[in-house]
Amino acid sequence: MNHDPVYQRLREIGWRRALTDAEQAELCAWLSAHPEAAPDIEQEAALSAALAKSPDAPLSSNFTARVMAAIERDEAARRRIPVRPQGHWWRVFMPRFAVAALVVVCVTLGYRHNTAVHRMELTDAAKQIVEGRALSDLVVIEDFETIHSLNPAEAFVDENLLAMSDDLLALNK
Amino acid sequence: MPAELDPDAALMLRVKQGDAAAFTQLVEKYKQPITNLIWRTVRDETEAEDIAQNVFVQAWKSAPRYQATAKFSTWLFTIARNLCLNEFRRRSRHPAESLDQMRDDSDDQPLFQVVDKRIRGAQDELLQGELEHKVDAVIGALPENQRVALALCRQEELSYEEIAEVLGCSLSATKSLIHRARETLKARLKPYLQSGVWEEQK
Repeated sequence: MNHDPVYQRLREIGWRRALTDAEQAELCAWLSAHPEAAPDIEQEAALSAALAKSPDAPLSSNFTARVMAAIERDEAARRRIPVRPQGHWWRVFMPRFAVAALVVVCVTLGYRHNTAVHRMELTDAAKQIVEGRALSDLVVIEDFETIHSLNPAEAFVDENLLAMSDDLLALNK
Repeated sequence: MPAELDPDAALMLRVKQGDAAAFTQLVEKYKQPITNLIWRTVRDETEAEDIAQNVFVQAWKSAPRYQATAKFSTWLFTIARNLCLNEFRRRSRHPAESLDQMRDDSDDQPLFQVVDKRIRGAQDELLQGELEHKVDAVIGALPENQRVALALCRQEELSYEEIAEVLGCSLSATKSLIHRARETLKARLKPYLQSGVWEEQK
């Protein structure tokens, strides 16, 4: 392969298009100084001619109309798809947030109500104890001090006495 | 490239504003070069036309984002090249054997036919058809990137730098692709090229 810059430049032009008269003359002048490159140049020219002869791709006569129809169809399809407004996700998640918030509020209120009721009951009980209302009659504790001062031994004697009384009653019968 | 230097880019800026008439002008101008490139790349007439149609639909849809920083043709050929690559990927995922491809060309086509130069007319046309078929077959056997480089090389509106841009490779790599493609073609078409048939018919 010849690396001469003139040859390379003209060859690359020849790949794209037919050489102009000036370029052809330049090539002839170059060839007269480098006759060994003649077969390669002939083959390059023959190949370029072969490629230039290959036909264009077959194309429908209504190609442009088909393109415009396809664009119209595409645009119509795009118009049919509803355009989602900005901030659309808010519309989707807002009801869910609302339900979740309602559940949280209900649970919190229920818990607080329950706690308040429980506290109130405790307060009432404490109040009853403090006010002494739990005892139906103060007579019950009239002899409290006397009973408290009795020792267990005295209580034992009383039991014997009761037992003897029972025996006497039985004999009388 | 500024829009005022490229009339196609100026038309595309009108398309950007929704001007369908301007787009029709662009389609009319580029439908044949784009279809040629795709046809020479995918080797199927019907698919070539379908892909070409998609190229223009894609160009229309991309119009709002179009920036006149590059030549319009470079931009359009890049879309075509990308859609061809998509088609190759699709084919590799869903391979299908074409009935045309099942026929082995070498079975019924002579490698080299000696031409009787005294006989002209219908026989010349027949020979021309055979030679075109042979060139077509040899080009079809080239690697995809060489085939595209060769096809783009024939688009006179594209410079080598723009071809490199479409192919997504350097200028030297682009020239190397074209050189290798042509060397392969010269080697495989040598008998035809030496016969001087092409020169005679020019």
